[in-house]
Amino acid sequence: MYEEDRERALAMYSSLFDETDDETGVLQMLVSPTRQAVNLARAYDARERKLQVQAQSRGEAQDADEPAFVQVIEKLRAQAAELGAPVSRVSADQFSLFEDAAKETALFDEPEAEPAPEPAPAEQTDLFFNIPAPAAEPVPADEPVPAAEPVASEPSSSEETDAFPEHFGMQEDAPAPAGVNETSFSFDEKPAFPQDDAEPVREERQSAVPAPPPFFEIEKPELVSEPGESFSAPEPPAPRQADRRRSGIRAGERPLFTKSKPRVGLLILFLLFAVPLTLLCIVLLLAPAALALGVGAFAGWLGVTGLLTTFGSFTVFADILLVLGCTLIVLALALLFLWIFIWLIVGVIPGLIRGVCALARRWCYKEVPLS
Amino acid sequence: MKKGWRIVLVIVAICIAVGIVCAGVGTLTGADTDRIGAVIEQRIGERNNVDVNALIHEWVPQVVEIVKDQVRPA
Repeated sequence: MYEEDRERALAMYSSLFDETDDETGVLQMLVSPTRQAVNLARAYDARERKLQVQAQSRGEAQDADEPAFVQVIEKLRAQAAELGAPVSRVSADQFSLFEDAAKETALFDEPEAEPAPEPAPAEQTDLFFNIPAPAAEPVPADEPVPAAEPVASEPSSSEETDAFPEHFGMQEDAPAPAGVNETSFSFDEKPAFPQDDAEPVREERQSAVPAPPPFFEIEKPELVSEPGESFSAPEPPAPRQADRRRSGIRAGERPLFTKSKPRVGLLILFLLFAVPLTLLCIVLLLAPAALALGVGAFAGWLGVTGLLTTFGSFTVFADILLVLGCTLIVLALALLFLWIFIWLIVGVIPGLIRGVCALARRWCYKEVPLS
Repeated sequence: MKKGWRIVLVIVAICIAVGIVCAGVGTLTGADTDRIGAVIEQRIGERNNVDVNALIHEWVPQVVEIVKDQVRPA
């Protein structure tokens, strides 16, 4: 593409936006820059354009036709001109925080003192794009202005952003329908997205579309409780079956405070049998613990002696290596036996005592709820 | 305890592996066990001022016989 042609196309696109009042409508019509680039690429024939330029330079083509890409852009301009001004669908008496400061004071006055402020048609602006909208019908003096919240919640995507003013635009021709403030608003309505064929959207604009209802009227959630009910905190989990049985609590009941009460007979029997057995087990465990300590200590002494001898007595390197290897194995076994001794003394025997105590607590005590 | 077991077993495994490697290398490079034994006996005898050979082959059997006579019922 010639540089001049490229600049001309860009200038024409810029003027397209400058000449129109509804930029969002034009953006919808253009769809995307990529699409326009593709359209121009299809319309631009380099060879034909070269012949055209040569003819113009020679002065042969007196009434030269516009290049194809110019015609495409002119067609877009014609479509943009037909779009017209955006039609706002918001009623004239819709409350808006973005109105002039002069009107804000009137909103805080008593309703019976002053009539509803008439919105200035020329100063009525779109909520998000500050595009002057056409005037809506003036509100009658005896109708109070509803304290409606402004239309909020910006749409997430850019397409929704572009469709927002169209969806909620002021409607110039159609009067505000009766009860427009009472209808319910729903986010399920899909905005008018442009088709891939870039069909003009003016028919959709000018069609009689009902004005959206005030934003504040939404369906009540289903979680609202009926009169008489009240929300309560979730009940704590029911106590375990074993605890319930032990404490004599029936299903469905929830004891708040319990106390451990010993079962005397069972406790005495348990002490008579469990304690000697536990002591016997402890003694039986002490024997291997002592054996492990002895073997570990002896192996440790042997390993240390071997280490000292290795580097002090032997002169042949091969002998040194052999003795060193055997010494390392002996030291490793010493570490293992010493750890077994520690494990028996610190882990096994206290674990046995704790297990016997837990068994006694489970068999010989019961949970009694406090009265 | 589980963490301790894991650490100890790892150290033991490493030491045994290194020991086996050293012993294997020493054996392959010409270590003589007779020579090693003679050096150890000499070392122990010098330190404790005893004859290790006489200790192992004479003294220990005598002690075992005495213990048997005492334990055996009359």
